[in-house]
Amino acid sequence: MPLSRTLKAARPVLAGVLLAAAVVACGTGTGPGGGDGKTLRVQIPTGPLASAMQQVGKDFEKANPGTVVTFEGVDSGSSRGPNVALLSSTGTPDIGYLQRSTGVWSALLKNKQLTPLDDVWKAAGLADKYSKSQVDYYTTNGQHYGVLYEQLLINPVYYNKAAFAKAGISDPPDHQVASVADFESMVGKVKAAGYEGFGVGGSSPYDLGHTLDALLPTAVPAADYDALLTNFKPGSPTNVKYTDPGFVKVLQTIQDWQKKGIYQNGMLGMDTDQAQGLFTSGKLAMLQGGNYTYASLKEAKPAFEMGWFLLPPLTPGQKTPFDAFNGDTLVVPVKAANPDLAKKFLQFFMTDKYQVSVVAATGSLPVFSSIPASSLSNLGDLVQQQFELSQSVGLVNIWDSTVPSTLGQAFSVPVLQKLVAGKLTPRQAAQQYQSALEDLQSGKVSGASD
Amino acid sequence: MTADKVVLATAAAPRPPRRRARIFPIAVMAPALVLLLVLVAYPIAGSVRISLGTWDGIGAVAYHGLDNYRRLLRDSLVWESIGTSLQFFIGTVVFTVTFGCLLANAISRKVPGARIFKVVWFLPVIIPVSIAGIFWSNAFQPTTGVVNSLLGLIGLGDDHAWLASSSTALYAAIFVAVWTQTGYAMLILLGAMETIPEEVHEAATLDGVGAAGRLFRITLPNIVPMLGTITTLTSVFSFNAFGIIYAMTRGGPGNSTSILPVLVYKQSFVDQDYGYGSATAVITTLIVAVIGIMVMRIFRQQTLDAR
Repeated sequence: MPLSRTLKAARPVLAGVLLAAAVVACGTGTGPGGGDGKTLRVQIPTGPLASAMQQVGKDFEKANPGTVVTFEGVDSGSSRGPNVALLSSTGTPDIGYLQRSTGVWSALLKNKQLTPLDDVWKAAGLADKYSKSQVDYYTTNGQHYGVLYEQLLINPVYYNKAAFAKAGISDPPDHQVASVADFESMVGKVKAAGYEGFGVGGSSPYDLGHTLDALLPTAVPAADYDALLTNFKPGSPTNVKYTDPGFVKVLQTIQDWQKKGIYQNGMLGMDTDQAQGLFTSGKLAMLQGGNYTYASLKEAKPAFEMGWFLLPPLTPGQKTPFDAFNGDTLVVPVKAANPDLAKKFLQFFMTDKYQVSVVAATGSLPVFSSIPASSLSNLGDLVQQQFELSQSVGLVNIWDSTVPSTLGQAFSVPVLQKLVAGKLTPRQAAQQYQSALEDLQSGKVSGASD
Repeated sequence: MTADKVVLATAAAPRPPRRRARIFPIAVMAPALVLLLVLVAYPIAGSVRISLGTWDGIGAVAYHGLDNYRRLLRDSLVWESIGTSLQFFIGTVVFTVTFGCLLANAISRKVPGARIFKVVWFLPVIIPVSIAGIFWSNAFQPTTGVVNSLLGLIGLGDDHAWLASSSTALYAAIFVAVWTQTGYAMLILLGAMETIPEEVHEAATLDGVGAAGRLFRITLPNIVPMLGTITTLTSVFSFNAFGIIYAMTRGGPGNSTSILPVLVYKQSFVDQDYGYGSATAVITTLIVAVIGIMVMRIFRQQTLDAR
C-alpha cells in the first residue's frame, strides 16, 4: 500500500489518539484541580496509623456516597526529603504528609505549592483547639497551610523491670531520676547483672538527637531554651549561643556516656529497630524511645514487664519535662486533583472523635488540649501514664525538630555521632552548632524564614 | 532528450548505493541514540545545569555561576568523602578482582566441588544490595551478630562493635561490597579462562610448571583484556555503592563511611540543597570517568605488552 494511502487510512486513528491526549492533558474531571471530585488519594506515614486510618476512609466514604478514599504510605526517610518531588508534581496525592520541621515544608511553602487551609481551620475550630505555640508554629503570614494531627513525646526511657529487679534497682519514683550520677549508677548495676545498659539507635537519623533533646531543657535556663528555639531567625534579639556552658554540658554528657560505657555496645552502628530488638530480646535493660515506641515494643511480646522514666536533669533539683514533637502534618498540595474533597476530608478527620479513636488508639497523643486524659484509656497503660505526667511536669517543644533542619536533626545527628566517636570535643561540636546558627541568621543558609 | 526529461530521469533514478550505505547504519542506531540522549545525556546535562545554581527541588534554578564548585573546594566534608570513596574503591576493587580471579581459576582447574562453588559464590550477586546491607548490618552487631559469634568461637573476641567504630565501619562495608561483587567477577573471568585451550595447560604441566606458575604465566596473560573490563566495571560499581552503605551505616558513624553518592543523597534530599548536591554529583562523575580511563589505559598497555 502506498504511503499516502496508508496515512489517509490512519487519519481517524490519529485523530482519536490526539483527542484522547488532549482530553488527558486537560483533565477529564469536574473538580477544581482537574480530578473527578470523587476519588481521594491520602498520603500517610507507614506505621500503626496507616491501618487505623482505613476506618476514617470508610467513614468518610459512608458520609459522602460515591467517594472512594485510598491511602498511600510514605516511609520516614522519604518523607524527610524525596517526597518533595512527589508533592510538587502533577502526580501528587490529594493530601500529603510531611514533617513541619523538615526542608520539605520549607521548599513547598517557598514555592507556593501548598493550598491555604484557613477554611479547614475555621470549620474545624483548630485555632481554639490547638495550643498557642502550635497555632503560632502553623501560621505563616497570617495563613495556615497544614494541619497538625498528633503530638509525640520523644524522651521516655523504657526499662526491663525484671532486669531492674535482678540488679536491685527500685522503680524510679514519679518516673524521674534525681541526677546523672544516679542514672550512671543504675546503668552500672544492670551491667553488673549481665545486661547491656542504655539503648539508643545511634545510626538512625534522629535517635541520638533525641538524647540531646531530652537533656537540653534542664541544662539551660528556660528563657535560654526558648531563645534556642527561635534565635535562628535573622535579627533575633538574643545573645544565647551554642557555645554557652549549658549546651556544652549536654554535649559533654553525651560524650561521657560513651566513654563510661553507659550506652549499649555498638550504639553508633545500631539503628532504632536494632536497638528495640536488643531491648525486647531481654539483653538490653533500658531503651530510649517515645510514646510511639510502646505499641511496637508490646507487639514484640517481650518476656518481661516494662516500666519507664525520664532521663535525669542536668541541673540538680529540677524535674525533667517531656519533649513534645509537633510536626506530623497533613497538607493539600496545589497540584492536587481534588483539593475541595481533600479539605472536606481534613475537616472530617480533625475532630475529637478521631483524635481519640484513631490518633490515641495508635499510641500517639491527641493535639487538642480540650480532650481530657480520662477519655484516653485506649492510649495504652504506659502512654496514659506519660500523658498524665506530662500535664504535671510540663511539655517543652523538642529542639532538634523546631529549628530548621540545617541546624536541627539533619545537621545535628552527624555532629553528635562524631562527638560520641571521639572525633570532636564537646567545645568543637558546640562551635559547629554555633557556626550553623550564624549561617542561618546571616541568610547564608536558607530555612530561617519558615 | 530535452532538459525537462533529463531532470525527471535524474529524480526517478535510484539513490546511489554509497548514500544508502551511509543512511542505513544511522537509521539502525537512531533508536539507541535517541534513548541515550533522553535517558543519559539529558539527565546529565540537567544535573550540570542545576549544579550552577541553587534549587530546592521545585521551580526554577537560581543561577550563581560556579559558586557551588568553589564551595566544594572549601568543604572539608567533600574532601573527607573523596578520601573515603577512594579507600572504599581501592579495597573493593583489589579484593573483588583478586578473589574473583582466584575462584575462577580454581573452578576452571576443576577443583573438587567446582560446580557447587560456582553456584554458591554467584548467589550473593543475585541478592538485592539493600537486603544484603540489612543482613550484614545485623550480622555485624556486637551482641547479637553472627560475625562476633563466629569470631568468639575461634577465640578472636566476641564484642567487636564493627559498625559503631569509625575505624572499622568502612572495612565492614568493603567486606560486604566484595562479598556481593566477587561472584560476578568470578563468572566473567571464568568465561575468559575457559577460552584458553586445555592443551596449553597440559603442555605446561608436562614441562613441570606448577599451579601458581600456570596461573601467572598462562592464565593471567591470556585474560588481561577481561581483567581490564572487570576492573573497570568493579571500579564504577564501587564508586556508586550507595545501596550497601546506606543500608548498613547511612554514611556513619559521623561521616566515616560517607562515600560520595551518600554525600550527594544527604546534600540533595536531606538538606534539600539540590544545586550543591548536583555539583558534588558532577565531580563524582568526573572522578569515576578519570578512574575508568586510567584503568582502561593500564590494561590496554598490559594487553599490548602481553602480545
